[in-house]
Order: sequence, then C-alpha cells, then structure tokens
Amino acid sequence: MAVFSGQSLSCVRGQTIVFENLSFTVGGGGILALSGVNGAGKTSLLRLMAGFLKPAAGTLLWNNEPFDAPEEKIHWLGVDNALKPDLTVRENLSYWARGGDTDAALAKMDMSAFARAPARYLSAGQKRRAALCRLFLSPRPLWLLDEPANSLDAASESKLHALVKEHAAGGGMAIIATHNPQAWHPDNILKIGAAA
Amino acid sequence: MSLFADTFRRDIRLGLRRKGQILMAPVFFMMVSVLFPLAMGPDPVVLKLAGPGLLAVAALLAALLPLDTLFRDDDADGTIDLLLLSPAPLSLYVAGKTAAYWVLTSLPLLAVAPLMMIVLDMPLRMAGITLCALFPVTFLLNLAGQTGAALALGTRTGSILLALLLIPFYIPILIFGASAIDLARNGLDAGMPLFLLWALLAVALPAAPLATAAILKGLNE
Repeated sequence: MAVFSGQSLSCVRGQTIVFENLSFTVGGGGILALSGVNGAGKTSLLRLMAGFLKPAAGTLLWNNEPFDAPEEKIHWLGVDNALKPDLTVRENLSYWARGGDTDAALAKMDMSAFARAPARYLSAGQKRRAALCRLFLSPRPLWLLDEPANSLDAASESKLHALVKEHAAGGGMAIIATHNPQAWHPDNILKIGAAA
Repeated sequence: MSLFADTFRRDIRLGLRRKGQILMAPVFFMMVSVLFPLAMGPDPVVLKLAGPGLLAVAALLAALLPLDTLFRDDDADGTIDLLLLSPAPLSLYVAGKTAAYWVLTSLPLLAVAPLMMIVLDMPLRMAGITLCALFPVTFLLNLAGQTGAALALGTRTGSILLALLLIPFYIPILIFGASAIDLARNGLDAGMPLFLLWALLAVALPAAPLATAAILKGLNE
C-alpha cells in the first residue's frame, strides 16, 4: 500500500512564517487529522500537499519517492464547494464526472432526491453534501479534506465519517483539517501551531 | 478534449440561464453604434468617415465590458483549485471558457452588425467583409481579454488594471479591423489588414490559452 509523507515542511506566505519543520506520515488505510487554532496553517498544509503551494523547505514523498502527478492521486475538497448556483446538482456533478457514475456518487451522500434542484436552492449543508459527492466520481487514493463536515447535520456527519472509514478500509488514505479531530477516529493527529 | 467540451457546454448553459449577462455586450454595441450618429448628426460624410472605426471601437468596448468576471466566479468558488488537480491540461478549460464566452458575447454582436451598418450608412454589400473582419477582431479581443482577466484576478483594482493591461494589445487589433472595413468601403483591397488579423488569430488561438493557464497556475501559488 502507498505511503504519503512530508518531511520538515515549512510554509511562508509573504513575510509570514505560517508553520515550520512539520513532518507527517500516512499510509494506505490511514486517516490523519490536522488540528489547530484558526490561522495555524491547516489549510496551508493541505494546499501544500495538493501542490497548490510550494514548501519553503522540506519535501513531500510518495512511497519514499518525490511526490509528483498529484492529479492522479488526490481528491481535493476545499472550504469552498465549487458549485454553480445556476446549475442543478446533477449538472454541477456531471462537469467533474469524466465518465464517472453521477447517480452512484449522488446516492453516496443521499443527494439523489436533489439531483434536479438548482444549487442556489440548497441549504448550506446540502451544498456541502453535493460537493462531497465529487469524491465518489473516480477512485483516487488520497483524500485531502478541508473542514469537510462544515454545515453538515449530525446524521450527514456520521455518514461522512463512515464513508471516510470505508475509503481507508479499501486501502485509501485521508488527511482531514478539522477542529474536532477525535470525531474522525484518526490514526494520528497532527497538531499545527502547538509546541512539538 | 473532454475538459474543453465540458467547460464549453457548462458555460453556455450558465450563460443562457443568466440572460442579462449575454445581452449586455450586444446591447452595449448597439447603443454605441446608434447613439453616435444621433450625437454627430446624420451627415453621410461624417458617418462614412467614422463608421468603420466606430464599429471596431464599439466591438472593443462591448468585449471589454463583462471581461473581469470571466474567471472570478471559478476562482472564488474553488473551481480552479479542482481543475489544477484534473488530469486534463488547464489550457483546455481556458480554451473552452473562451469559446463559450465568444459565442455568448460576440456572436450576438456579429448578428446585429449588419443592422448597425445600416444605422451608420454603410452599404450592406460590405456585410461579408465587415463580418470577415469582425470575426477575428472579436475573437482576438476575447483571447487577449482572457489573458488580461487572469492577470487581473486577485487584485482589488481588477477592472481598472484589466483595461490598462489590455489597451496596448487591443490597439493593433482595432487598427487592422477598422482599416480592413475602411479600405473595402473605399473600394480598395482590404487583403493585407484581413491577412494580418487572421494571422494574429492563428498565433493567438493556441498561444493565449497556454499563457492564461500558466498565469492561473502561478496565481494559485
């Protein structure tokens, strides 16, 4: 199974050091939770893992080789839902499908009943669920999730926890930025902004 | 090519559901073309002199109008982040978006161009050559515009910066477009400016989406 790791990572934005000397390892079947106060750098670390940001120092490794081709390995869920309000949920999802099964993806997050609803009429929680459906359009081993349970009700959050567990049980890995790390039953918690 | 087709289809669908935005460019084009003769008087000599240039300037202003929104929504809602993790090249997304934008904003403008020629006292026999000039003019304006829109993304003075960035690129397009129509109107050979316009389009068509995609990737870092 694959192993994704970061060694001595530092992130600098402008003149500000967001974090420095962070290391982590997550293997296939593993869940890593990133915790920390607002502004600690959870999102920056996730963006760095996705390749959106370049580390000021340190390296990312995939099976002990330099990490490349993130587009083949990563499913990304940012804080924004990337939904177009004027498109229906199905139309929004179809844009990302590339041959994936949109019906099955909608069913995963109990969104089938809202498939024909324009995204603008959804509640915040429903929008989040619609965005989460993208994770199930194609199999990719590494899920990077930034506050995935934002706006979700208790039932949807439990369902998401179970789906993340299921992904991990299938050999995938998940890295989750969250304020409630214990809820995800992670294998490890990386506290950012705290003394080592 | 799937990302190109998917983006084209999605943006056309979005545009058709936001009718106000589609109509803005052709309505603006018609307003400029109609108001100018009203302001200057219906003197055929003045219209004959100003007509070709006016059509090109009106097309330029109409193309510039909604440009700063081109990538703004996709940037704000996280779409561009997701596209950066798509196996397909980002330039296909840019090309699909530009093609849809041209269909939504410039194609209606070309459709009303013959009507505006009548308003500007231009003979309708020139409709063919006018459209032959306005097609590459509008496409080039959109291609230069998309690159400018990507550069202006993330700045608080986006619209102003965009206009300042684009004017130097728009000037040659404007000159070639207006002179092609003007030469034809005077019974002269408009081949050279038309050739230059289409040659510019042949270069810009593959180059601009690549440059814009590189800018979008760079902005994200």
